Amino acid sequence: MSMRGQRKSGVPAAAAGVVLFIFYACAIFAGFVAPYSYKLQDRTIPDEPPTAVHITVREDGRTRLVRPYVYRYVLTDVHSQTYREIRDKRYPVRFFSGGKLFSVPGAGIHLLGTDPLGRDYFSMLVYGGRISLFIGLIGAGISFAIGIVLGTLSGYFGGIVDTLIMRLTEVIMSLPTFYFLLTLAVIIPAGVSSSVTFMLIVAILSLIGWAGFARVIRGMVLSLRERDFVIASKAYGDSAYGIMRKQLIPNLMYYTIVSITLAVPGYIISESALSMLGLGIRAPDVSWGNMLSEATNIQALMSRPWMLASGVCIVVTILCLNVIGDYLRS
Amino acid sequence: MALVQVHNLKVSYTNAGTFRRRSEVRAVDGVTLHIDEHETLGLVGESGSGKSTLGRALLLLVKPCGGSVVFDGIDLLRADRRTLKQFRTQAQIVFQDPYSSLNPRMKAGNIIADPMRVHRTGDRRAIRERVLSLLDLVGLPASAYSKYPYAFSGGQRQRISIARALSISPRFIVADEPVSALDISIQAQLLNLFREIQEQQGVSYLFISHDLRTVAFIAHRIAVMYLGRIVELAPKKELIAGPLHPYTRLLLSSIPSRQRRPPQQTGEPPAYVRGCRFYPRCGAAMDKCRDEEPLLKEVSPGHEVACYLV
Repeated sequence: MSMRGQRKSGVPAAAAGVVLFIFYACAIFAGFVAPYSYKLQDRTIPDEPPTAVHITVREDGRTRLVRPYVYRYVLTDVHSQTYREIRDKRYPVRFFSGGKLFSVPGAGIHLLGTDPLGRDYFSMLVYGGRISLFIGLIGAGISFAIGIVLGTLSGYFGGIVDTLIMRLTEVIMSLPTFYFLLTLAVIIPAGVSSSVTFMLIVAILSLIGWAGFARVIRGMVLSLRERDFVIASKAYGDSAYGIMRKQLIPNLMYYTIVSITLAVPGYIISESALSMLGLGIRAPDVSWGNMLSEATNIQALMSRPWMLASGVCIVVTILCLNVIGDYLRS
Repeated sequence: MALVQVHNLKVSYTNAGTFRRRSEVRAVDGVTLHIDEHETLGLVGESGSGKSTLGRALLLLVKPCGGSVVFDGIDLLRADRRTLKQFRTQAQIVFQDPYSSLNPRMKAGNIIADPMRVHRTGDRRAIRERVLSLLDLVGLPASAYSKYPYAFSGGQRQRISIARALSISPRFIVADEPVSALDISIQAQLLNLFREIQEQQGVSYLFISHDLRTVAFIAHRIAVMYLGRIVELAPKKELIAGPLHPYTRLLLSSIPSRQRRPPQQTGEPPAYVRGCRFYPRCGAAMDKCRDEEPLLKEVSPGHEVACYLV
């Protein structure tokens, strides 16, 4: 945290904002950014390494810059899954054709290789971001909505309302979060569709997440309600609802935005943890968490380190959110 | 008939500590007074004398624990919700701290318009017109409409507060030290504004201050409060020229000036006394004062004092 009066430089926060913007844009426009569907399996190319994209050609002993192109890859040894780049024909990368950001007709382009089922890892990553990035945002949004309503009610009315809500938060906060999360996740039936699973996970995360936030909001309302502008609005007879909506909640928004930014990573991590343990998003649907579960095999990881890409995405996202949250707080 | 009639009003605050014993503080302890229409009643007293609590109790912003407040013939402590809602349009308050009295997340125009929106006094256009004319009345430019409070100085903020209080045309305004936090030159401007508003709109004020000079300038009558009780109440001139209660004399002698010597009596108000509340600090205290509390009695028309000396 920075010292009072010392404003942090906005440069890291701006950079983090740009990175997050790109991540979220890719997730939203996954159908355009990803060259393949995340469900598309090509069993002839399991565990293919990342496709090398070339931008130079050597002609007559001189190197010349050309438009990006790739070569075909051929599986040379099925047992050790060795691939070889066949340099007989150049396949140019086409941009903005056929409704895709980039594609290679005639050959494949797998920027991060493929998984054992021959699915394009890069495409999975882009589609997986949809789940992982939005679970954080929606989950944090819902639990903050619950927290702000209950916290404001609790702080404003006091008395029995306050007692009931605060005891409820204590019950929720005394639960060992991760085990509770696991227990609830196990309840989700295996057969339900991915969107239902997604909703249920969001609901579970929000159900646990609101309590701590409600307590802080209650504390802030306790001090706000004694401020003269709140008393003034009582003097002209505004209703409790009007006072909360116009006088109290707008003065909590600043804190709320900062807290949401700092809370989103927790949701992303929880989703990842659940999915990695096989209790969250299940195949064939992808999220960064269940992609990461494949990277738990150390031998697979040694031979194909790019499988860690989803983990890198999680780390980068959380880092960016923390940088922005920290900047907003100062 | 008086606009506001307060009889034997009592307000107490309790500290319900978990580990300590419950303690009770009588902030206002049996106050009786009245405020006429178009009149300003000044209320002076030192910090902790219960002035603000009394002001807030008149608007039912704190709950009295005894006595009665009658506004325009209506007993407020027995009134139903609808009557109270009606009362909320008739009485308003202006606070001391210009930095806490305006919602920092609301534009000045909306702050002033909010009471009218709550009571649905007109359509959007009418409310906007009225806000602009109020801004003009309190001496702010129309451009203030869409600015947030941080853009204003302390004096300007108080003007916004006054405009907000005036927006639903109240008949009674509690001004709780409205100029105490401001520079002397700005104080004078605002006091004149309060006067002008009274002349134009005929509102009544309960004007609370710890500064006798301020009150002497604006009030018609002055009530002196000490430890939750009125000790002297008189028309302004009479109180200034002939103070009868020793505490009033102390307050008057505390006004710094070139002619007078510094005040003789000092000291802090005690926590609890059985007899006269001022007894421990009073220069003219008698045995009787220690045992029995003197009651307010009228010594001349409109001049009441609670002291055995008179």
